[in-house]
Amino acid sequence: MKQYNTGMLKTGLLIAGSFASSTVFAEIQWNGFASVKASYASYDNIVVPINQLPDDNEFTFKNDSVFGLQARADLADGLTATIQMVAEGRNDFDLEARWAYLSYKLNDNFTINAGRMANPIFYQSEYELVGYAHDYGRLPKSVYFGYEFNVVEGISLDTQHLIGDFLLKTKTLYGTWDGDIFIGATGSELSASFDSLLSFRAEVSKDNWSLFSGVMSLTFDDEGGLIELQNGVGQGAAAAAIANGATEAQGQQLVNLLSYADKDGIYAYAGFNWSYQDVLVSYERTQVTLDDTAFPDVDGWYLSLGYRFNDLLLTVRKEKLDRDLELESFDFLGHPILEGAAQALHIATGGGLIDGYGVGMRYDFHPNAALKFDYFFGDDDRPLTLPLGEKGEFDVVTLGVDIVF
Amino acid sequence: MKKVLSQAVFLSCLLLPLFANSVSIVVHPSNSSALSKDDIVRIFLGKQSEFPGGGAAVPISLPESNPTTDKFVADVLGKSPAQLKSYWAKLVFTGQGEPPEVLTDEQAILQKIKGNPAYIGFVSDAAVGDLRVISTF
Repeated sequence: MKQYNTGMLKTGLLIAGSFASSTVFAEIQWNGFASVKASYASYDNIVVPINQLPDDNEFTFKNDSVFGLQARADLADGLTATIQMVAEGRNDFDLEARWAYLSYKLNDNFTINAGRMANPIFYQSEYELVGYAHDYGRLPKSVYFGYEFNVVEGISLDTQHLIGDFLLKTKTLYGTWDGDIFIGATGSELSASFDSLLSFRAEVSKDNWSLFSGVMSLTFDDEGGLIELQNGVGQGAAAAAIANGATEAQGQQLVNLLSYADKDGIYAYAGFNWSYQDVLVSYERTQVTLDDTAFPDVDGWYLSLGYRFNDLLLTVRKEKLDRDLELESFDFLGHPILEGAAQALHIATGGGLIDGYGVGMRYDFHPNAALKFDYFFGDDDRPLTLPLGEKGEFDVVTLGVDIVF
Repeated sequence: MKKVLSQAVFLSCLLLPLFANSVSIVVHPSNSSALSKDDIVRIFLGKQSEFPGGGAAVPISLPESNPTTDKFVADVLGKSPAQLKSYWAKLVFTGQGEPPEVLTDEQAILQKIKGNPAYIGFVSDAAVGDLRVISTF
């Protein structure tokens, strides 16, 4: 996790302080959110199935707790400055400037933003830390994986048009990113960065339904812990293969294949929300593709059904995270050691295989607070780390309170 | 029988203010726009920023604790207070919108609208004054 404990914090407070003391120039609007939640997880045959879940047999108040404070300074004539400071329990409540950007509203239809801001890689990813804003005790993890590149540095254009009774909203963003990426095979994170990132999202809504879709293209940088690890694995396997009869060119092919350096990737998602009286249905699907690598195509989705009893909302959901394994696609490497290494990375990367269910509750017991519960359970069948013929299983329970102020 | 009937009428008169108070959507007297309920909902949810007849539409609100607000949110917007707060939380924390400005009471709503034709508000039926009533719910 990229931290701004001192520099960014001081800068943020300085900016906020200067705005606060300069009311002649700017009117500050403060908004906050917080989640205090207890979580417990139990895993069989696996380490951590998905990013940002508690460790095995861990009972924790930190993992899903977060505090956030947002200051928005209205600088008049459509110009605003926003800074959002967030302290997440899983990062020991170290304060981070999650967002810090300027916005210029050209008119009611177009707004330009520049700075450090949310990158909408999933439908609710822009406010995924604001628990009160969504209906789940825990957003479905097969889709809301916890990628750090949901916050980037760049420039974006927001549009909003009312076309008849339909509201069309779009966001186009260009930026860069550096941070950590969760490695599903080891349950750990490694540093990585994107040279360029372009994303586009569109949403059409009317009354009780909305349809949305988005796509993001990215290009990896050629540095970072992830690239170094891949280079090391590739060079080691290449050396072993060369010692066993492979050519230098064949070995280099494997090194090139395993590395993400300068490789392109595509994220795409689509889904809908629909409600009728007290019934709510949500569906979202995402796909990840990294070109010319051993990384398999990843496909995640969830379908959620909810029913509202006044202030109580109950939800059940099915979710799945799957990978499209194509082991024969490495035959071109032409040597069993090279092919085996590529196949091993192909299987090991891309995260766990999740086949799970969720049961959730939201109870709005206070005008500014909701009690949330979530029980997420299922199988994680990842071939390389499991004893032959056995499946991994996970159970994750979360209970706590989300507030806004 | 006559006594029972008179008691029923008396009780009805006592309870009438609790149930009969309706919500009136009000604008400046010079605003001649014809607004449908959908227009009103969209304006108060930040989805529409102009009156159908032209000109900026700026919604203003009574405090959450006001019973007229409860009725407006339930009967006009079709949401519970928590659903509405959740809706605005999504927009506020994504930089896509701000909820309507909240004024202290109905008098403040009336004064603000009288001073600027861009404003649109809701008040109880009894507090309309000389503003133009768009709809009553």
